[in-house]
Amino acid sequence: MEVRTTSYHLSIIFIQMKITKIFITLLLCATVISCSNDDNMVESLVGQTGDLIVKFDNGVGDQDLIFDVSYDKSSNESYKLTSVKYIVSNIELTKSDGSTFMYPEIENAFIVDEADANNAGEIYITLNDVPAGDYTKISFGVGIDQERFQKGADGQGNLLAEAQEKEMLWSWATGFRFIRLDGVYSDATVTDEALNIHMGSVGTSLDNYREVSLDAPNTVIVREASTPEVHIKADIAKVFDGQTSVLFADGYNQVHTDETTTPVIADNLMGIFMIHHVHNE
Amino acid sequence: MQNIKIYIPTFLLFLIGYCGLASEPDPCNYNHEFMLLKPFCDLCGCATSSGSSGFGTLANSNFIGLRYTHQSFESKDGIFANSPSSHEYLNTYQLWAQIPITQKFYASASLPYQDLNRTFESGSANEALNGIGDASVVGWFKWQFYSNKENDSIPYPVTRPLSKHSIQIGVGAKLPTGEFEESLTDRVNPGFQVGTGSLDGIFSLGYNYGGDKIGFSSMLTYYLKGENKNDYRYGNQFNYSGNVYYKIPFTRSSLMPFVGVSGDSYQSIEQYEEAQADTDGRLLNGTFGTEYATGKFILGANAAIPISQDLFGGNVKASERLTIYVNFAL
Repeated sequence: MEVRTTSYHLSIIFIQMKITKIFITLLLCATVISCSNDDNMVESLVGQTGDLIVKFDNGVGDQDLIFDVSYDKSSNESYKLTSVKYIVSNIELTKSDGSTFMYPEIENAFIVDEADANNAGEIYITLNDVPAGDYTKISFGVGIDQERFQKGADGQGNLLAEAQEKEMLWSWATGFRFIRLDGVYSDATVTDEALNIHMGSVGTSLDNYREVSLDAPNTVIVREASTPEVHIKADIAKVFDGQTSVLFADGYNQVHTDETTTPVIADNLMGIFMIHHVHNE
Repeated sequence: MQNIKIYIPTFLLFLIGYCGLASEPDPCNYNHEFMLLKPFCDLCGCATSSGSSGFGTLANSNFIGLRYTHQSFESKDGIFANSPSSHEYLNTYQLWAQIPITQKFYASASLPYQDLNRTFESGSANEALNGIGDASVVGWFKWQFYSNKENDSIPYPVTRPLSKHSIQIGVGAKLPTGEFEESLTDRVNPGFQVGTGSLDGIFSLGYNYGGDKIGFSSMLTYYLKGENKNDYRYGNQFNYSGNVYYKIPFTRSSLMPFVGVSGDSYQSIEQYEEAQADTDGRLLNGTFGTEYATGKFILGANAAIPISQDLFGGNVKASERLTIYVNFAL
């Protein structure tokens, strides 16, 4: 009787050990499976298109841009802004293999207006029907190039009406304002003097259109079912303290069509952009 | 089970006492616990204290129980130094158990229910997310050392007396039972998820010393994160913890306060096999708490307070974590 009980116990223990071994083995298998990297199937991208969102996020240095907040610049000058708008156009995407995609021309001009920003201070531009692919670079122009401008009102698509509404157009002869910063500035001698940076090309006589090319820190993956977001940070401080540091007191408080000051602002404007990060979906 | 009428008020009293103590500036009088289970979540600092096998008996204490954990984070909602914040509040209700298999082997399992909320300083609409989280299962081998000398005080020595030292080795997996929402990853705190959508490996090594009055328990755990369907992979995580506890026996119950540290370090998150900037980090917590055992019930409460942290490029800040649980010994 005792022997039978013992052997019964032993067999129970034996079964339990077996279960344990199976259990541990299963766990190990699960773990190993979880670690093995299944290579993604090579999917055909031919004919596939998707959307891409470009987010513009305006800041001043490491600070988010907020209207009516005073920001210091060089030479003990400071400024407050009440409107920040600029035009981007000719958005072109470059794939990792070097091939490029230029967004269709008629739609390829956008007004980035801080007043349109969401709660997080971001302004969205959505590009539709972008060929699926892995992009590593985005280029765009700041302002409107001469070729487009010379196509006249009919060649501007929706931009013309939008520019009129957002006061980004002088007379047709003078053309578009590429950037519009309105506010006030202060220095040692003046307080809250008017500040208006309305820079653009001047008809066809002065070309202030500039191009920007930005490398993405991560691959921008466009697929039919995945819409990447390219988050571009624009440092408005560099409009005044960029390639060239300008002084409001030297006439840069009112920049409109002057052939000396506008190219300086245009060159500075070119350098305000960087891709902060890319969010792939 | 009619005893439950006694246990519930006791538990409530305990809670009130705990809260009272928690508001005192002097936190010497505190409690912690030594369960092998962790929440296994991929949020910074969410991995709770680890520790020795169960309570009181210092042998394998097997149990089934319920645990509630509250943790909050403050995250920067934007890319600028003065970007507004978001606050994440994570409530986890967890069914957990430790089940014996043989004398030396046992398994632990947990199934969480997540209730997450996020508020935005910017005025964006609040977000709420809830559902079953990621279950985890770990198989454990416990290596109990034997005492060198024969213990004559035991009248019927069945085996050699156990020493006060033991080692546990655990291998397990976290299962993708919770839903992973890709759209949420664009936020600064990518931990705001019910689940990671990945199958992860869990590897643990624990050491315990259980003296008559004072014990020590420590655990090292490595989480090998798998890639989920969205080609998204949370960074591998290393967790360590060590706690000293003190046993206060009463006639029919006992109290076991503890104090210790726990910490995590995280590697960068990868998507499409590209590391994402500012997604690694580390967190060191001071922990304290207590367990109270009466009859078959074990009540526990503990808190973890960040000592130092650097999470997601400094864009996420972990706050205190509070945990309470009630276990029923099997």
